[in-house]
Amino acid sequence: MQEVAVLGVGLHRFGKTGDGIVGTKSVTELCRHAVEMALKDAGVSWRQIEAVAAASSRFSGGKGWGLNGNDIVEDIGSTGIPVYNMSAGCAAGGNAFNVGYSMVAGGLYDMVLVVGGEVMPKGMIQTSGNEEVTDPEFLRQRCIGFPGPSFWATLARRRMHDYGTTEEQMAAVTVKARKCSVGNPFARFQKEVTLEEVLASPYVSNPLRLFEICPVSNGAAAAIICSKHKAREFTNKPVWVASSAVATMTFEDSLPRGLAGPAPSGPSLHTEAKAAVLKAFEHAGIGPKDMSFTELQDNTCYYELAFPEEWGLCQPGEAERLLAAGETTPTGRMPINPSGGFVSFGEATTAMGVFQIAELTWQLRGQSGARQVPGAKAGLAQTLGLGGNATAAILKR
Amino acid sequence: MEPCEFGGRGRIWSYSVANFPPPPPHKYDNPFKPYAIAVVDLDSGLRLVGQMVDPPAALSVGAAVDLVIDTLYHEQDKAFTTWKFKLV
Repeated sequence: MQEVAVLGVGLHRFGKTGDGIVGTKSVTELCRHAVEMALKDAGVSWRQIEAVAAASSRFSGGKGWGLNGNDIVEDIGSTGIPVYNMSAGCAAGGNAFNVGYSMVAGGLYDMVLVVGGEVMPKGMIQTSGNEEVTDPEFLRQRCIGFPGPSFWATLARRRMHDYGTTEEQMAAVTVKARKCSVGNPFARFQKEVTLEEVLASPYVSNPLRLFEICPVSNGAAAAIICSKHKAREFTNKPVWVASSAVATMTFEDSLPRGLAGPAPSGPSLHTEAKAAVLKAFEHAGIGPKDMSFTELQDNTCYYELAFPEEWGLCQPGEAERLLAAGETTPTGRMPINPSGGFVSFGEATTAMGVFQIAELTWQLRGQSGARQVPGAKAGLAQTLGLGGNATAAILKR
Repeated sequence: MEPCEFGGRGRIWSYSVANFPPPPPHKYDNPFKPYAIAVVDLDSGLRLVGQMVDPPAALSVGAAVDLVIDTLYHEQDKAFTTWKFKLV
């Protein structure tokens, strides 16, 4: 195994179809912008890229919109390089990073582009385009109607029961996230919101409100990763990949993901996310206490409370107190999503895992401006996708 | 593996409210009326997801429910039914 560095990163600011940010740009145009930015950041020319790991949203059972990595290569230049299209629902960006990392670490390539981008269909994400009665996801959506927000609301309601979490505390997560996004030039929302404004926004799925759920966005993200000896040619201060891990859910998982399953006796949590993060800690040889900050998949405020507890960043039931004490802000003891997170960016599904790599890289270089985590040495990134997919990566300087 | 029967009685593990119409392929009668979705642990050891017959405000975590058959939507003068839960 050879060490892997992140040499350059790039983003296209996130926005909504028709707005002044992304307008009517295609996914290829958004990706071109992100890739060119990453190449420039790395000081690398397109001809030096040896392979592409692309996050594809053409997920089985999904609607089939989204990125095909071959389009990016055709657009920027058909140099004949291999393109790997990875599909893992919303974890696809993290998956593509892991595959790119594994190929460089394994010595197959020295310089790889990881890219993700989306032009999202409007409204709640449709998870089943397949009208087939043997498809449990189709039955779940036809017979119950259980899109993402309802799934997240079920988990949030259970947390309220278990820990006495209030709607005000969940709204405070959004207030903190949006405060981080101020001055982040890539966030779709860059304005603060007040607790009153969050609580005045309508329920999408009670107890979760509009401002507490990430919308769908258009956007793109790219990262150039390379081997240690290659990195030395371009910089004397690379950001290192300490580990990259992928996991899927296990038998004891008890979340209501399908129609029915055995009632569990243990705690109900995302086993795939926990497994990926714990593997990332193990492979990196550093633990939760060594993380200067974390970028986690906050499709909704619930995850910002639950995930740090599930991964050992803090104690179970402690997240609300840490939030209230300001410990999850960039200058706190346990900074969570200094970028502003999904709640400030909106979700451009396949871009997200790569967007997190960009934020981690800027933070570790000390380039994050107002949202900078002081003295950041190591950062954790995590994604979660339909089908029980999760990824985690740790970068360090 | 052998077939086994499961009773319809259980308790609500958690629940949410569909305040907006879910996207296709969900079908519902217009005008859309918000409804609750419960995740229920049946006494037989199965965790099952389904719509609630009762209004959201009547629900609480831990409440006892029964499985029932109820109408989901109408199409071409026909009622399409599904499984739902009802508070005991």
